Amino acid sequence: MIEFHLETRSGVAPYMQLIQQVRRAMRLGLLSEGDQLPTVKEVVAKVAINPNTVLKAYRELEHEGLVSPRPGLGTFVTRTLTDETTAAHGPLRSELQRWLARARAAGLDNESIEALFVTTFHALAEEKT
Amino acid sequence: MIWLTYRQFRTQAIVGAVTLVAAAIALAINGRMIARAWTDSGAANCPATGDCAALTNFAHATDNGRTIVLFILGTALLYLVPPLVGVFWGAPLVARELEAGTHRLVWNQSVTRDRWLAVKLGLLCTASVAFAGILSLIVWWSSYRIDENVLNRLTPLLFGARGVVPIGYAAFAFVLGVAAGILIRRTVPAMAVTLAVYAAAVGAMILWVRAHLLPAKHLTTNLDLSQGIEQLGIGPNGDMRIVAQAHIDGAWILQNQTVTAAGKVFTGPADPTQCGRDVGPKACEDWINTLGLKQRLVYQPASRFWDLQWAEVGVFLVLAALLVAFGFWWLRRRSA
Amino acid sequence: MTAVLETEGLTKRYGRHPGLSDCTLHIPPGRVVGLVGPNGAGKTTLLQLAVGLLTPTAGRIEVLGGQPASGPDQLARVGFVAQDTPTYANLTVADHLRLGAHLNPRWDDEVAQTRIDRLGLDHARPAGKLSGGQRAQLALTLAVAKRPELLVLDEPVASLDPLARREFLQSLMEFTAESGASVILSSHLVADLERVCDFLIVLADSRVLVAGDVDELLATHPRLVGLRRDPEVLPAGATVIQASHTDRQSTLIVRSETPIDDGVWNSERLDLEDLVLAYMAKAAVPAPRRAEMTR
Repeated sequence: MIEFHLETRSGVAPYMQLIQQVRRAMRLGLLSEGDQLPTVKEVVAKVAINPNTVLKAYRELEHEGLVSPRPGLGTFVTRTLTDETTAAHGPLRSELQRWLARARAAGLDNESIEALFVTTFHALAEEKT
Repeated sequence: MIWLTYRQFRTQAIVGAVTLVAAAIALAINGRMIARAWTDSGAANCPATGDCAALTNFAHATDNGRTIVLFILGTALLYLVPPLVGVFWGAPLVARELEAGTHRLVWNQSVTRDRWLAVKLGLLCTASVAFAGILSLIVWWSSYRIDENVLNRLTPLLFGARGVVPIGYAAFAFVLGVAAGILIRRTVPAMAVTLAVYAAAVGAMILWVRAHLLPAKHLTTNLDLSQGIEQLGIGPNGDMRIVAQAHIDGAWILQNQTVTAAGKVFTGPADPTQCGRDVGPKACEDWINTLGLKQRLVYQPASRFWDLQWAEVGVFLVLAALLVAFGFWWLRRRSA
Repeated sequence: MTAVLETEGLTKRYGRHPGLSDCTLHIPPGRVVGLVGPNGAGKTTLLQLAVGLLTPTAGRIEVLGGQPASGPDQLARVGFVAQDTPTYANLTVADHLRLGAHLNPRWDDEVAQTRIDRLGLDHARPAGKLSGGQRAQLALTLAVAKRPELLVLDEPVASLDPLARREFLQSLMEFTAESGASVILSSHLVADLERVCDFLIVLADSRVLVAGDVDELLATHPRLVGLRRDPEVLPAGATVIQASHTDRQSTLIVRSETPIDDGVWNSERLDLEDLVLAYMAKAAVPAPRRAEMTR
């Protein structure tokens, strides 16, 4: 079982934050197939958030095929996201470390590095969609 | 709703009950002492034998320290209870809710505002009436021998503390307090207004209204100074005023005038040779007896005691009903 | 389905002073409605009209299809937690629950007892000796245990510290999730309501500035940033709510039913607070001008 939290000032819609947290937990192996998500009542009692927001997030996750509701029991994870990608984490991280070292050597400070990464990332993401 | 009314009223109810019990004990003791004086003085034989001279002894026996103090206290208590009920039971009833904002809590339960007020008014008005009624009954029982044989129940001050009139006062005072609270919305000012309006209403009743609740009786007889003189005065210009005592058993004398045979109020002139500093009072009385004056009385007879009681209760109950109607109306239209 | 709250030209005046002017609203059921506005905007007036503590000067109001406070049934369907959460200071917590049980035919004593126990409130404690947060929870318990279809709360968290505020909203949302009841709650701070409400009404100066589904409002109110230009040059159907300019940049908050994607403007998503503030700023601007005209 996982616990949700909410970042009010992030600019990301609350239901989207819940979806992201479920996906992240699945990627990190905290949630795998057959695990139950907290009930709507549990989430709202913990996070003080509108129940419709939780329902919306769960519906979206269901739509993505990541979870499915079992009437009277709750919402359960139907897939495992870890297997293919976790293996790739190690090599990618060391590549990224090398890239960061090069950026530093080129004289970029932390903020510039972050700005460069974020703009490139968003540009790529937009191209895809 | 009944439970809530009881729960909120509990403290006041206990205070009321304690007062009532204490008064009952004191008045019971006093009642027994008066009863003993009644037999010991021989006045108990008066109704049977017609020998009522002993009544003087009875009056004497009861006119001592503790008996008369308790008698006066019991009567005073009956005057105090209605305004206190109005101030401490009536005025806070709604005002306290409005002041504390709890009306916003209680008016949003599944009970309409009308019903809320109806139950509270109904129960507590009954309690007020019962309180005054029981006290009046105890006072009556404790002091009826004095009332009937020594004093006059129609005397304005005694009349308001006997019979059913205290019940009317209590109902009126309680409802007045509630209405003042609804209108003013603050407890302490509502209490003050309740007290002032109550005092004014009862004062007006005693001073101006009561005598006219039933048409008064008139009686004109020959002036008889041998029964006693209430007032005899001679002015410097010879104008004169003479009032003989009125002797109508147990009546409430509203007006006692001496008039001439022509029906005009007698104002003299006095004959200086008969009535003056140099001549004795006897000569003056003899002279007055020759004038053919008459005594004109306006009065309420003793037999009307209960008629007057019910009439006065009726007036206050009508006032109370008007205040209740006003209270419901105002509470419905007023803004929260 | 019957609207939770339906008003048409609803107006309330206190003497000559307007409390609420010409308010027309339609709130669908099952929502958590946030009523936001500065102090004195008319929030309490609207809520008290909805629960029947006030009667309108003009206009029409229907709550759950009935007249507010028109009878015991209507009262039973609507729960109300008034501002500053009034309770009887000398009555104990247990007395309050008994009051609720006696005065409400649909009272759910189990819910009430469970809530009080979970909050750790002492049943024998007089309500006057509870903390602000505890009193608010007691008032909420009373309103919740009568099983209302609509729960109305007037500034329920305004006087609470942050922890009590969070706890209160948690209980409130739990009730909503369990019962499916509709909720209307007011606050002068958007931040209090941001997480919990999915329908928003913004009031200022006794008037409704904007009302609608939160997601829809956010979707139709983008912030546009671009090179400085006249705000008149906008895609059709877009209304400017707020505009600010530097010497080379213009920032606009607009209302537009269709997404603005003309390559001229960079469109960003607003958060709820910015949206509310934009509307309030817009409402506040004409005020000095009006004052000048009357002079």
